[in-house]
Amino acid sequence: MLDAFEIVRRNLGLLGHAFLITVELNVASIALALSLGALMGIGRVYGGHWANRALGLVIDVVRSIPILVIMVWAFFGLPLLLGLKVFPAFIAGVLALGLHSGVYIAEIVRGGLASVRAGQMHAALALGMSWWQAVRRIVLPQAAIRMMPPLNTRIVRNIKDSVLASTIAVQELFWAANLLEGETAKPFPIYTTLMVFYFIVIVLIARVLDRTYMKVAARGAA
Amino acid sequence: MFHLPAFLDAFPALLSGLRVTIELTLLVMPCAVVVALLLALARLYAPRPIANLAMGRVELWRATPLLLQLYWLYYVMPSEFGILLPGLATVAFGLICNVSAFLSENFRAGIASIRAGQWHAGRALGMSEIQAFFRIVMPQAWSRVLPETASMWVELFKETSLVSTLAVADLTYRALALRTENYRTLEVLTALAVAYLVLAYPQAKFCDWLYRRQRVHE
Amino acid sequence: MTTDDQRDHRRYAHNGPALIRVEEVFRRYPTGVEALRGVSLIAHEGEVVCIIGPSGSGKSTLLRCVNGLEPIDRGRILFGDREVRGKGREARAIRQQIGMVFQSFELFPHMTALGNVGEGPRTVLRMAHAAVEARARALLDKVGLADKADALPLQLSGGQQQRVAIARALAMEPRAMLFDEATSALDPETVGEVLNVMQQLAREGMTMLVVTHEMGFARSVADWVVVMENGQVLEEGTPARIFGGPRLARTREFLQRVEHAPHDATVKPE
Repeated sequence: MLDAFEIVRRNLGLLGHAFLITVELNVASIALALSLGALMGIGRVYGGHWANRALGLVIDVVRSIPILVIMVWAFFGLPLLLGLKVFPAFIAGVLALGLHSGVYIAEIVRGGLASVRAGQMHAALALGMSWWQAVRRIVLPQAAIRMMPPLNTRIVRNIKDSVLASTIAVQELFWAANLLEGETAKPFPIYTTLMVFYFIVIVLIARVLDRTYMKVAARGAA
Repeated sequence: MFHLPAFLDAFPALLSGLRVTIELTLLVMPCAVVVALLLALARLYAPRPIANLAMGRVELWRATPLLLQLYWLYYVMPSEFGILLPGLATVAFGLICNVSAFLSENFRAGIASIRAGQWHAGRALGMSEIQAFFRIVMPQAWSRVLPETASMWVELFKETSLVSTLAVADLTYRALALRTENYRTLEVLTALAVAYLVLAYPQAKFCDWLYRRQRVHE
Repeated sequence: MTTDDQRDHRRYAHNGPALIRVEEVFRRYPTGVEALRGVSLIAHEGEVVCIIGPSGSGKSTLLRCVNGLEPIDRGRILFGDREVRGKGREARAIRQQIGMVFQSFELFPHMTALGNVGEGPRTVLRMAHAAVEARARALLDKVGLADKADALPLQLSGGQQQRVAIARALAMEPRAMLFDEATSALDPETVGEVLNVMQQLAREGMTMLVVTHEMGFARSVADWVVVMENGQVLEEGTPARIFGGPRLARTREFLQRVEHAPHDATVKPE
């Protein structure tokens, strides 16, 4: 049985390179998602009625479409729309994942901001703070702490969704696994190794994020 | 550049795929709910070893990518264990395992959130444990888990799109096939996105409404 | 009727110039509720003015308007010789000179007690780190919580939280303090510690506008008592007059109701 895994051992170079691409894909898309989510969430809460409506519509549209469809649309459709001849799959993957995770994060940010009592804003203004000082120093930090649990779930979700980039030929881990499987017709060792790998990585990341939250949780209490 | 007739023509071609998508969702969800309930009960009330087993099963399916799970079942089951199921049955099985893992977490939290006093009150009336569970605890837990269960339904509806990568002819598969036939990539893929949007949007709004209603009630 | 009381010579005899002047203020909420219907009152420098009255009478709204946290529809509010308006830099400049204490404390939960007290000087006055810390520690000491400097709000009792909140407001070295039912959310046994801090402030000559249900406090600490009902001032006068012989039957009724309320905490007599 163990001999079967020889195929994995012999191809560690390929898998290592693919792992790096998986990491880059996730770092880039999560960074994009956090920025997009923060902007859209703040816009919904403080941008006034019409900004709230417009952003709400964008968010609802994106979260009604499967990430796989967004991904193939971004890779095949977007360059046609923009008139681009070359469009790297990696960029399409980052855009699709970032946008998809971003709209969910926007809702998390909105909920977090809205959960801070109006009295906190009053107390900050009563000290003589400007509106922006009150948001930055009082409302946002509290909201950020309360956002952490759903945010952590979303980040983990982004990592799991990133394997879909293999469908548009981003050469990440799952793409490499499929390549090996196609060459060797040995699905068991290849997919099992990948399964175990993802399980360990995701459980570890979830635990680290959870620990971080536990450390600051008391500071976010209402 | 964007060819409207090609866009509109895509929809009828997608219809047969839509049927598969809806059937798959309708088949998977009830099965997943039953499995999830069993898993949740096992984790809450079964003896230690069984509870741990259930927990391991849930964690494994929650912490790995769905696409990888489906591929594993699709390719490894026939080659290693000689189980050759039709593609549709394989992906349905995978989706049930995946969705039930997430649902069971939701159910477990919902059941655990009902105060012990409610159990006691039911038992004090002379109910058996099973009666107390079904008549007292479950109805209360149900209203708490309903919104998240509904979101899971929408999630499932969207995630069935992954089966297209395993040659199951769902909505996404039809669109990707059509694209290679008429080369109207932008129009076909946009039609695909719009089809999902039109179907999932009301469902997502319904979920939001359930969440709001729950917040008002508690 | 109110003008008589405002001309009360006893009041002018031992007080400085008017610091807070509320003139015929109206405030109507978007919901249609008329919270304030022509309210006027004056707090002179160094004076403790207690505002009492049934809940929903507009007392808290009035305080928020004085601090510019809520706009007014008509009338005007003066702080010193400057008008309080709802927005902008000018409103902020006035707010910096008015401290406010809330019923629900509103401590910033992500900061320690020391952090809360230092927040105003640090963010608004942009004072240096060492000076902020020194001032914050001194104020925590003043309210008897020097040993709780590093505690988070969650780890403090209600009375302790409210004392930190008072210290936080004092850290801006305000010319006046507003107390919005500062003891209403407290357990009965911790009400006294907060009232004592307020009483000490009054003795030091702080100008205070105090919305309260603590009749004992109003009776023994206030220089002037204003009775409000339905967004209007019912009557006002010295505590001796209001509690000894209210002129209006409605004031008498209200006082009878609250005098028999169980949670009327006691303040140490001076």
